[in-house]
Amino acid sequence: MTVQLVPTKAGNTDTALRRNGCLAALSPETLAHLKPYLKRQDVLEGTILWDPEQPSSDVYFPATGVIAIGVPLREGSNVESASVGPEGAAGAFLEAENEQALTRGVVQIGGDFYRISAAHLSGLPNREILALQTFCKDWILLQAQQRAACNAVHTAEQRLARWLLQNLERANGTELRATQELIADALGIRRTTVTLIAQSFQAKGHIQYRRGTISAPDPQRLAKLSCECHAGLSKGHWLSQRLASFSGRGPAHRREA
Amino acid sequence: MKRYFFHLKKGHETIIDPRGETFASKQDAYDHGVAVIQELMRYRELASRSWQLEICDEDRCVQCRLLFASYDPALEKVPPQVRRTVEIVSHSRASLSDTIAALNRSLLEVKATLARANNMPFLATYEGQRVEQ
Repeated sequence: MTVQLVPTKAGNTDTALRRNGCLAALSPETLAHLKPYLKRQDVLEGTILWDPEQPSSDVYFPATGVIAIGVPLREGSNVESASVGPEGAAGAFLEAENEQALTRGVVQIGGDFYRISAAHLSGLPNREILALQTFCKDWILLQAQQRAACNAVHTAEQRLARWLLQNLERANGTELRATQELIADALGIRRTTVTLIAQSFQAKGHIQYRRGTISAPDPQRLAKLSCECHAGLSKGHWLSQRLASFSGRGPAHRREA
Repeated sequence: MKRYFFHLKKGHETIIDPRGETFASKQDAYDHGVAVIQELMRYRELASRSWQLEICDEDRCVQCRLLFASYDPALEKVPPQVRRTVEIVSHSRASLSDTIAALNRSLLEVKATLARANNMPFLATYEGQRVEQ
């Protein structure tokens, strides 16, 4: 069942908008054009943003929180093929035009999202918006390819470490609010398996798990337990970094300025 | 519906399942345990054959202890005799690990007792539990 999003009263200041890496990477002129159409909303874990039966006409930019993109299967499971956090955007423009939508977008970690109608976004056909759409599709494809390989050869322990690292990085490396059920769904394994691995990580001091909040005192230790797939999806490869370089707002350009 | 707990014995280490899951029957709990074993041992079959999953009921009484080697899909195609031999070796290795773990715990308890006899402070934990003096 699709859950209604709740609009919040907070304003769209540039600082607030720039918590999303893609919006932060856009030039001030492009952002100023989009600003009137961007609606800020609090979204709760489990909210279905789109699915094959109810395709979305909107694009979502998470400022905090994560969207899991999966393919819903007949028996009710929704196998996750990619996820998008504050480093990206997801929604209407991910599906091929004039084709039946295949994916379902579910809020995996609740937070503040910015929503804009795809019509408003594509109504501004400048090169940055076109690059944004291309990079978002590339980001989903990259993750889907990486996950297919990861699921085929890596252990549950390595995959859990990879998932934690990826999502801790999205939360600026501090704390992550996630239940073991949520992680089990994301990885397609049983909750008991997640509990046993998480208990082992906690006993060795790799993570601290308290009332649904996970933190990693030393992410480098967790990285040693993860498969190499994490490196390919780490911050340096985020689509927001690519978009920033494209827009001339990357770290190298800022240094020059 | 009854709650069952799934504790993992991995070498000298025991990982406790503090939450457990509810099931309508013991058979359902067993099936869940086998599925958890298959998820944990996938792509590390050789290293995990001597691990065990202990299924306990609500009173924390052990209902069964499942040896990973017995559910290793890599052994399905080998002759039954070879499979049996691998299971016996894995079981012996698991028993040895249990014995070493019990020995380590006993040593800590002896140290704690000696410290108490000498009126010395002693603080140690074993698998997350404080070793009592």
